[in-house]
Amino acid sequence: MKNKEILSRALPSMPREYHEGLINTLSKLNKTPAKRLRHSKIALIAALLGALLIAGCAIALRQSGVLDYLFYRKTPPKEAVELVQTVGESTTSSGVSITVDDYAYDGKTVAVSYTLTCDGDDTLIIHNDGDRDLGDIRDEAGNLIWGESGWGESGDPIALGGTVEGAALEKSKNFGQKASISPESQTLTLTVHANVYRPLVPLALSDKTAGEGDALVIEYDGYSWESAKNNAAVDAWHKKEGHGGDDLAQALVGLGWIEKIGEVSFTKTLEPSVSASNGMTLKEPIELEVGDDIITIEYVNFSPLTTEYRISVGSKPGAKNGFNRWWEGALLDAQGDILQLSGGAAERVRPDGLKAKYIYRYGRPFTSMPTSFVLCPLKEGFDWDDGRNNIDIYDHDNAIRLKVENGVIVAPEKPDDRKVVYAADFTQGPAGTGEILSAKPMDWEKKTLSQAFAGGGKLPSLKSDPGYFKKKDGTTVSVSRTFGELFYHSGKLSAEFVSYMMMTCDERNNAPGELAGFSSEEALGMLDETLGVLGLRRGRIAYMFKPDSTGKDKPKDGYYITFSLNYNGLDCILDERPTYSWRDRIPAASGMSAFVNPDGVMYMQTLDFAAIYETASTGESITPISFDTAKSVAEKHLSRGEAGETVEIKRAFYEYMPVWTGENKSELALRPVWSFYAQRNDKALYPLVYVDAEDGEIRY
Amino acid sequence: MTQTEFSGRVLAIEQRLYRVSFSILRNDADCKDATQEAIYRAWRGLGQMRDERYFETWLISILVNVCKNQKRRAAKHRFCELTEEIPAPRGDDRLREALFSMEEKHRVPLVLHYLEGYGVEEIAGILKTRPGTVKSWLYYGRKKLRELCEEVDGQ
Repeated sequence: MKNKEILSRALPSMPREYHEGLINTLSKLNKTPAKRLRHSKIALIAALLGALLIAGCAIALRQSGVLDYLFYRKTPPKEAVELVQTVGESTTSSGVSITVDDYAYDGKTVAVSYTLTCDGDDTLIIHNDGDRDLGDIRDEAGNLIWGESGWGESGDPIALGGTVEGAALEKSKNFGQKASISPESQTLTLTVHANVYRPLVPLALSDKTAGEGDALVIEYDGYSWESAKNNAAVDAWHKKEGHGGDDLAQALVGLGWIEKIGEVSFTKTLEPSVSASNGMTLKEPIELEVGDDIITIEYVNFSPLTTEYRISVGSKPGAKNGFNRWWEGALLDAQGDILQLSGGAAERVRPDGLKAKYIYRYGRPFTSMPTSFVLCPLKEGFDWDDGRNNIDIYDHDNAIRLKVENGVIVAPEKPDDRKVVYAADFTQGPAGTGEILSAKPMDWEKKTLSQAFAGGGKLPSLKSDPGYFKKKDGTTVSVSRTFGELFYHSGKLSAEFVSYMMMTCDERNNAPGELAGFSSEEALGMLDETLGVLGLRRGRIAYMFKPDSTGKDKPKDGYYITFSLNYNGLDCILDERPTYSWRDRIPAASGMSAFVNPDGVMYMQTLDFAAIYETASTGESITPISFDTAKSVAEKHLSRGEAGETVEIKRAFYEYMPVWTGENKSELALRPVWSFYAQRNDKALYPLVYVDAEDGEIRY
Repeated sequence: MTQTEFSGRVLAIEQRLYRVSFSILRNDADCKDATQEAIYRAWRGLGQMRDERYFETWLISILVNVCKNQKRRAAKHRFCELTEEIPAPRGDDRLREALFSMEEKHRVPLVLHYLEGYGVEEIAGILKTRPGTVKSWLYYGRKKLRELCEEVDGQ
């Protein structure tokens, strides 16, 4: 098959609904399009919310109880520990045991850590109480019994003669889920059916011959579950029975693939460890008009263990500025500190009065009660480079603060009451620590950014867990990862995962509007000016190019510039990822890129996975070893063949790199190093050896 | 460009819009949303377009950006209640699984190039990257696609 044919077959044909949607959209366009914009002035804010936290839900199931489930990393705050009550009780019947390890309960929501065990090889547990991704379930020999990707919905894990360890359960009475928990009566009941397993489908072994991307086939004891085939059978059964089609256990019984032989129940009266009355409620929906948007807060359930709310966001009929707007929310305490950025809360405005309704759940508990609820519209968002880099720009002028009186969210009486000025936005603290950092709303000004990025002329010594870096004074600096944000509060720069990205696009009056006459020097000057506003300095230019401007439909042509950042005279580069770079690209693809056109710097983005934005004004001074000494160490190391090949040093840089330290190599320290690079045939540089600039040790 | 002209040119490439959005989002409902949003953006920003001859590429560029944003948001936010059902997939399931097992940066240029007929320079403009990068992505994409097809054929 030719490539076109393959692709043509792989992609489905356009559905009728899609065409109808287009027709509908086109029919609602205003009669005249917007006039040509004379300038673009883009404010900046870098914020990305607790994606990590959301992603973390999927890996929440560890073997050490509800605390890990709730905080899914070590070192939860003391208040969180106090939420947890130990049980350690079991009940057994029909060869199936339920052991409840511990729980946390606030009167509304309970999170339970429990273990299910099958004693017999033929016994099958069908477990319907989970409402979140459970990952893989394996028997004691490590055989895969259940995998979320193979079974679709995660609520139906199956264990065959094995143990489901550490399964955690979170339930709220407000969502009508099929729960075996009755928070109203403070009774926890876990019920598990014991079944006899029937052969499903003869072994297909397709998982052993298939390549990446093929459907997961789950095997057990000579039989397998082929997703497509068996899911089709399940769907057909539900259709025949007139069911909703999402209860796998029910279908398996109905299809005769399993036979129930008994059940085991565990019941316990729960005692709240903290009062849910500290949370927030909503007596009736609140509707607010903000510009062209209509925001309706429909439902709220905030308690120490639960953050849930539902908002609907629509635009006024005929609104010109509808659709491309998202709203996100945050919870603040009485001091104005941010308790949670509701990473699960974003709404996209639909046009012409249409509303989208989602319920967002955000399972991370907070231990200090929120006293206000803030919603902020997203003005614009960019996404670059395969989703790793993104820039969110918030419309803080239209942010809404909803006050809470006696635990009830109330609508603002006048527009000024609801105005809130954000800082760069906030987070729950460094990823995974459970630590809740405070962040007071403040003006987001260039001068504060500048302060935040003012270098102090000293080399930093940073230590922290992977993913972020914490200085000895307790403040953190940002390390980019897949998602995250950079923010500045209480006079300190901090971040959670990726930092994105300061940018400013000062209007350039009288811009010619064409690239002609716009020189590379001028573009660099504008870039440097922007960086200067941010307190940053440009390091090496990796490459700079001007795209073909002969008629390609870019909004306005300019220069793509890729460069490193420079702190205190040092290029700060860090990336563990290999790269297939070309030309004289920055080693290991680290750095930033920008697009500059006659209107200014249109965007900047990080290129790398783990760029460190060190801005320490406090740090430890060191006296680096000389380049000659470092070179000698490197050459000696290479001559011993420890690098595994005969190579020639082509380049050397002075930069920072992460070094694992501590007794268990569990801490990551940012060290200045001399790095030595060789060059491949394609001219790309690759690192040979790093020599610690302080002690002359080889670093890996 | 009048509304009629605009609508006509959009509808003329609706298949293309669908396929490009599907190559990123893999969900009909999301494709519809993203395309609607891209159309709104394009209509509102029509004045920024420098040359109407390149309207289609310009719109595709907007659509790709919207799709990527939408995908990122979907990854960020954990939806617990959806108002729209995801329809059953159509077409060749195995080939689609193979295609979507590829990295997006390889998949999307393949679709743009081989299915939609865009040149390397045009794809670079749409994806806001360098032509050299597009060539690299196409090279690896082709290689991966061949491997995947061989695996599919071997089953």
